[in-house]
Amino acid sequence: MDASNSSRPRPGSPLRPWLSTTRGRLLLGAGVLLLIAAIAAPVIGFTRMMSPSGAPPASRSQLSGTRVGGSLTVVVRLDERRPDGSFTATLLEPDGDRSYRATGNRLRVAFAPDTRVQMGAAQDLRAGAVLQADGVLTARDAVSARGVTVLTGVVRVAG
Amino acid sequence: MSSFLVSEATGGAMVVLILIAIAVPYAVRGRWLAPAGWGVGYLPRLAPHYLIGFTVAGLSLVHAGFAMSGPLVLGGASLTGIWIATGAMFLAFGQVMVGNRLRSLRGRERLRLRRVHFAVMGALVAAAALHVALNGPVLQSILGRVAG
Repeated sequence: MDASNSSRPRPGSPLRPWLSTTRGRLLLGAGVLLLIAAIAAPVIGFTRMMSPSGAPPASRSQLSGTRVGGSLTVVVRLDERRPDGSFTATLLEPDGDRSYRATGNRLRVAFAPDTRVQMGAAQDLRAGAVLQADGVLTARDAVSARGVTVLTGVVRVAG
Repeated sequence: MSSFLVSEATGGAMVVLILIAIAVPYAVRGRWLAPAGWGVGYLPRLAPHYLIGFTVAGLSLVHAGFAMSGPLVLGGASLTGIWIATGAMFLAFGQVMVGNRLRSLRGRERLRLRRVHFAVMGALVAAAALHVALNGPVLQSILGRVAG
């Protein structure tokens, strides 16, 4: 038997009964660690998902400066589904913390069956959805997405 | 830190705190935690349960405040989830009131109210699970990946 288990708690401190035994201390410690993990996991996960490639989303001028075949990250609002399954979309530019404004640039965004979808599911890729897409510029106004992060409901869009 | 992150962090914290609060009454019932005896009665051993109960009720307000101050996806399952969460928030405060009353009751009345406390706990867990499934972006992301 553990010697610390025999120490009798003194009344007064609400956690003293728990702190007076080894198992109680271990359980309290585990609870605190679990709590820290529960707070940290979504924060770290979301922060990483918001910028999977580490690159900030491209602005209108950066998009026009990207060569066809080059990798880029864009934030877009899906406007309409096309017969081939791709979407026409509006390029969005950052406009403050979690705020974006619509630009006049229209893009065609294509998704492959193996496109990674984060912060949502494949069914979230529909007209009206706001997403950050990491992919390749396949034409001057077309992006093939390798990974997307669904931002619908997480960011504001003006315009 | 943005309101979204605060609402995510408080949501995650509440899930863990609710699970711990449920486990505490069972953990302190026997002598597994204190083989040499507790030295105090059952109710004083429940101190973490009381602390967590008040904390969860307070955190639910913080969570709702930050979640509602950000952009919302209103419609369909998401809206249902928000209504469920609203109900759960009121339920959490009711649960705190029932728990607080339980501390001063003895005998048959205590047993009766403890059954109510247990039933409300079940409803709270169900509501929280539904809310996380319908509105939790992190869980939805994980489920989306699992579903392929």
